[in-house]
Amino acid sequence: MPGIEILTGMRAVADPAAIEAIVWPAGVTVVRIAPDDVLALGATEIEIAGDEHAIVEPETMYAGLWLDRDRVENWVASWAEWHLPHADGLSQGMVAGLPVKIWAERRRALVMVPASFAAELEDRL
Amino acid sequence: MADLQFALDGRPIGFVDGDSVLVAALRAGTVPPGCLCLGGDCPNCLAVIDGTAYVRMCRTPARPGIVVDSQPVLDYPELPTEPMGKTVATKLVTTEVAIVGAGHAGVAEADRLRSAGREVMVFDDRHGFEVTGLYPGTELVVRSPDGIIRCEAEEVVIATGAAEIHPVCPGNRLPGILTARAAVILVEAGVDLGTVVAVGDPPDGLDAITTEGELVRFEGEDRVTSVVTRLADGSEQSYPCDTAVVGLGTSPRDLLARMGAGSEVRMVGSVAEPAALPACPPSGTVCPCSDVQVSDLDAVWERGFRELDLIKRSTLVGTGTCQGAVCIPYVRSYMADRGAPTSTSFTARPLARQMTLAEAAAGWSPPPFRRTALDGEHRSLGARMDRFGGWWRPWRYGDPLQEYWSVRTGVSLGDVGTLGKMIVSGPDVVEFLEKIYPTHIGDLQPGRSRYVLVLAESGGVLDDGMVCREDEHRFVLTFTSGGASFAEAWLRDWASTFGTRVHILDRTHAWGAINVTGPLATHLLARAGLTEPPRFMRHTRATVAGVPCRVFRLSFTGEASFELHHPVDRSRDLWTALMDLGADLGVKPHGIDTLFTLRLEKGHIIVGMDTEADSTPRRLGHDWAVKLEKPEFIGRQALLRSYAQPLEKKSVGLVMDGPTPEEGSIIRSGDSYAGYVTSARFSPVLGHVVMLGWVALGAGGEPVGDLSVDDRPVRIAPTPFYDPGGARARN
Repeated sequence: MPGIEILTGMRAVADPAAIEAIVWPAGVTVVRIAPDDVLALGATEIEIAGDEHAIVEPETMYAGLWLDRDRVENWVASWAEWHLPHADGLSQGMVAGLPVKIWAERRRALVMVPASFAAELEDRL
Repeated sequence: MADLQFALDGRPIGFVDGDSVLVAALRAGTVPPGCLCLGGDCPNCLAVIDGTAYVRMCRTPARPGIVVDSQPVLDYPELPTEPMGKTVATKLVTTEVAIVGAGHAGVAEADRLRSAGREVMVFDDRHGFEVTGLYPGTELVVRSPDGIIRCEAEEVVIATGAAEIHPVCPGNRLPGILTARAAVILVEAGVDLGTVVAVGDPPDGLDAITTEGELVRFEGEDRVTSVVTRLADGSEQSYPCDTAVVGLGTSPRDLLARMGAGSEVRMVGSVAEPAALPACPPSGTVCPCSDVQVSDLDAVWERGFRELDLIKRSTLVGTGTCQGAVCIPYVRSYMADRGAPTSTSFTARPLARQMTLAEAAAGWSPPPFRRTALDGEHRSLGARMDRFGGWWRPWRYGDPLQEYWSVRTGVSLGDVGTLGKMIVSGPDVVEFLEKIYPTHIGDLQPGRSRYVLVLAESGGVLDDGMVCREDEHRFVLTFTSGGASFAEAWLRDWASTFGTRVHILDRTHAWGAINVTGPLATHLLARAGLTEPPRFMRHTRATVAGVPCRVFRLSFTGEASFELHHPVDRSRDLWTALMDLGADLGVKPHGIDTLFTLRLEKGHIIVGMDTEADSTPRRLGHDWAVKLEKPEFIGRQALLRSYAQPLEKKSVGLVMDGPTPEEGSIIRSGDSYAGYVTSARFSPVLGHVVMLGWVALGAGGEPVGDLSVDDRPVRIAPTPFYDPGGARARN
């Protein structure tokens, strides 16, 4: 199994309309955590217009790894009653006692936990 | 006989394919006491099989090499001395209909439903799928060869059939008694039953002597040798036998159905059919699991326990291994005989069958503990790690006294990445924080920091931390390590309640934090590139050893301290650089053990350790951190009310000579209780014990009498105990 690594990118908390208006460069995985909260994995900057109070920070909060979608689905099914979303969607909840966010694509899924739980994730996967 | 064997009580037992452990044991002449049903209903064939106790031999297929130790019904098996090392997998499945029982009724119902296009799953313990519980929802918990299955079903059908009624009379615990179905199974398996006497309805095809009259008792020494009945004329008739077979009717196996009452659960087949109660027994063992005799029922009945659940609670009848399968018909019969209603049965709750602890724990995860990005560094330095506030933290690296003096006289590093950290910004951020905190926020200049209490609406201290203003509309807030877990939700909840326009971003896991502390801290930081460190209670952004940091100057240790908050993926770089740069300065890391001493010398409280739920700022001596003249903040109304009352207890500083008392030790005033110690440490720099503790106050608002701990005098002393003017932290 490939190692769990800290996921780097940018994080923005801003008015939802300002987030909607962001133009994302290619190669960035955009994970909308909440209407006013977006995680852009692989991004090095975020330009936000229309919200002068937006918080934009380099992000190192999450650790995770990409796995085959089937494997992640089986893992979640063993522990939780919720299911992965269809392609390009975020689901989040407790799996194996950990607060997990899963960015699901058609064939693979990114399993993320707060970086301080990285060792626990490795144990519990 | 085939060569297949397993071990039973230390001797080899041969078996043939298809045998259960019990059939093979009976064929070999090993007969457990009590009536055997071979249907999984009674507790009479329990065994410890391959280390797992409470396994029914009749439900366990014989396999070569298994180790079986018979387990008397009333004795507890020995606990394993070694971990069994079994982790049980769990699987969640869903279906429209779950059917429990694959007998005639269950299979017929499954066929009917599938024909109607319904999705059906069938579980039967004879096929290795034993349902142990039924929960509202509706969810079944099933033991299976591959682990525990949790099955969510829109509808549950119970098709578990009916259990045979066991005899209750003197001698019913003798070996050699079988139910009718058990006798048929054994005959078909080629087990020689010897001379058989049948009580009640004998099974078809069984070569047996049929008794006349009412069953009175079984007789025998080591096993049953005769059956005694009473004839219509009152005389007794004895029937010599090798085996007694009883056909006393059946009782619905409705435990799961009762467990699922109120849910989408229905019954089919004989489990749904009413059954006649057996005759009320005058004597004998009613409940073999809990060794309840008819005389025990008499005793509680006379004392007024005349409802089924009351009889269960007062005698423990029905609470054992078989969960009432054997005894319920007789308890109901006993009540009916005395004119009591018997329409109800015991309240049924999971578990229906025994599970191992590993099975019960399947699907449960121990609470996770966080690790800072420096966890590996601490361990490689030989730190003894311990759990505090939900994190693994270094307790000490070696000699705590060396760690202590490196802080007081040199420079030391502490991993404070566990602190809660939040960024808050927005047009209403000052208004928001003024309502959140009991101190002034609006007058805090950018670049400055302030200590804050976090209050509950009750006025009690929930947490403490720092407010650090970055610019007009942006702040960094810190919370304790323990408080970090609730801080974000707490802030968001209040922002919503107040209707204030703020953005909140939790940085607890994103930022590591290293505390550089000691009189040589500025020297070390200068080597790392921070030539203009912030002054006390100020903060700045700077690059330290090549790592971008927010540098907060404050002090929990009592010495000059700089918290370097930085991206967590750079923690190791920063830590190792500072350790390398400070090598000739004698830099050492310090653990929590040392930190607790350092902070106590300064009189700093630890929320949750030195506080209780009702610890108001006034009781803690922290009135200075509360500005009641502010028009609104969380807890203000409660503080106004409580401050109108006399102060009856207070957290105070205490000093004493001699050994350090245990934290939690009682503080006495004369012979009376006066309070207790919340923190206690020997102070190396002061040469005596320093403590914080709660003490009761007299009418004058001061502690009364001479105080003592462990029968030794203690003195109240002002805090901070060390460097009361705070010069060392500011220099």
